[in-house]
Amino acid sequence: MEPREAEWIARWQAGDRAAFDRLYAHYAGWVMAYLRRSGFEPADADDLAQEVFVRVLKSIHTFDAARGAFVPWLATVARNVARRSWGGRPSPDHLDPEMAEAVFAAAEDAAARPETREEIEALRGCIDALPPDLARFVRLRYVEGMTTRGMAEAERLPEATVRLRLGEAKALLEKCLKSKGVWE
Amino acid sequence: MTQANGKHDERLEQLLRRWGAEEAARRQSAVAAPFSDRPPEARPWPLRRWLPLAAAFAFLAVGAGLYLVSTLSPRMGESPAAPGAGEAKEIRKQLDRALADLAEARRLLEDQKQALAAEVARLRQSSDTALAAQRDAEKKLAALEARQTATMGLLQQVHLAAATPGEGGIRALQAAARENRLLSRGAELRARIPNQAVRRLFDAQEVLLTQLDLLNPGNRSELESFTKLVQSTDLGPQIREALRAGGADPAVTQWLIETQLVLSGVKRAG
Repeated sequence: MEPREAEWIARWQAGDRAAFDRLYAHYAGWVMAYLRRSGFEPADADDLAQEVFVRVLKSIHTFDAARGAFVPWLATVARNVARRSWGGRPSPDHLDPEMAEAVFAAAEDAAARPETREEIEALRGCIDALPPDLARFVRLRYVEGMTTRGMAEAERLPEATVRLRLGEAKALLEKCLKSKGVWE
Repeated sequence: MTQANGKHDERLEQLLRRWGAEEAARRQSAVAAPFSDRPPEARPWPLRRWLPLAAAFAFLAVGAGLYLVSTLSPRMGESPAAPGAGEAKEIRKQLDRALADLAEARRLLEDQKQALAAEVARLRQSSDTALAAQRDAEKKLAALEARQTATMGLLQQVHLAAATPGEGGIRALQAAARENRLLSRGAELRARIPNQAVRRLFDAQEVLLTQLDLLNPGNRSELESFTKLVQSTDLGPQIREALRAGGADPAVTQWLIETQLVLSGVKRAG
């Protein structure tokens, strides 16, 4: 857990509502990203994110920093809210459920391993330098969290072509990261 | 070298996932409504929900303003008790400014309307994508159910073949494999197997199936050596393990099960 996060939680548990607002400002985006990648429309994701934090606010007394980090705890609350709200509908097959889960893994990783920041920044530069069509494929997959099948439908291309283009993009990214000296 | 490449592939995938999640969170953070612990129905609507209403209200207000101006202008010109020439000029100027302001407001609203129309089109498109995905899923489900029915038929054929050991049984199995187009379906499915382990199993089953297709059941020694080959390469446990791991295309799973069924029949009939 990041020191500031631990501090916010401690202050919030001591009754400081402003500390909770800071925590919300920091994590609302992650929760909404998870909900969007789980298939919820923007307005519903907004409402559900509020519901997640209302539950977090009400059950803060059950959170024990000594027993685990905050992000997995938040993830559990978000998963429960999402599952209940989604009901028995079939999962959207244009979105990859693994990518929804990757949001919380990334949030946790960001808190636990800030040293990766240099690599991420280099990668960001490399993605910006990709040809625009390849960058779009990378964004659809890794930012929107789409499956290759969903991307194929959105782009009206065969799925094999989408895989091929993603492969091309990754090869260029690897080359770029090596040229920046991030990787040997 | 290959190991290093594999390591880089894995690391790149991890970095892309983290970058993508950060980007998504950053974007969502920018549009997240301020926190409110009131129930949803009592919460203020976020800006993007107000926007269409606000635009419609503004449009109506400007329309009403234009109407008023258009009805006032001729009356001012015709007024019998017209003010002095200087005052009239000043009023005219103010009116012109008001009209110019209104035209500007109308232009801004028109821009806003276009942006909203684009947003609606985008949302409609994404809902079309979701509908198309649902239709696609329904089609696949129907195809899967049809194949499962066919598998039951195949199962019966395999049992009947096994009940007729030797040449007759093998001929029945060859017919079952051909009727179920196992070889041609296998060729179509090959491209849909990203997993290397599943692909190896798939290849091994395809080789045995091709040999079964080419086998002359009347040739006793050929039949015996083929039966031995099938018995010695029992891929059943590996297939079950790979299928338990999940992730395989349902059509590929179905093909592996059917092929395994036919080859198990060979063991009994051969």
